[in-house]
Amino acid sequence: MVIRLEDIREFKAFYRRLLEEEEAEPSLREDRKD
Amino acid sequence: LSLRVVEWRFRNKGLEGYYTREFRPSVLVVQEDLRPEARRVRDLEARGYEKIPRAFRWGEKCCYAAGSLREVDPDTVTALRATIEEAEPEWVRRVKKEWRGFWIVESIAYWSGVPLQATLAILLNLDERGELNP
Repeated sequence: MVIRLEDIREFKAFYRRLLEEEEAEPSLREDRKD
Repeated sequence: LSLRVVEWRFRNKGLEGYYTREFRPSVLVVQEDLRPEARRVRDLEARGYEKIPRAFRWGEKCCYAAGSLREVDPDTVTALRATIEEAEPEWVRRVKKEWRGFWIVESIAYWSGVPLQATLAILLNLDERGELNP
């Protein structure tokens, strides 16, 4: 359970940073599309 | 696009995926290096949650590997039932081929090579339409 929560928290921290980067530089989002 | 898929290295290797509606679009996080079939199941599961949002009211879902029928998450099966036949007709064909008139789902999954959750979803759909021969 602890590992799961850590995993999820780490991902969310990463993803929030990613969204902030993309908001600042919208072209990044296009580059990261599959 | 209503769903974004991101790969992530979860330390808990039993955690195959994590789906969250906290962001827009919703996000499916899949365990890095997941087997292609398992990854496909998580992708279809998340698309099912998107397709039938009222069937799943929570904001997030941890998707764990299932080694037996009792470990299968009912929400996963509900979501897969909404997408599986259109998305994976070959899986449907293989499950039908292994059906012997009994609900031995783990055995059917093993011999068909179709993931357990998907096998159950396919069988329930077929049964609902009366397409499972006794």
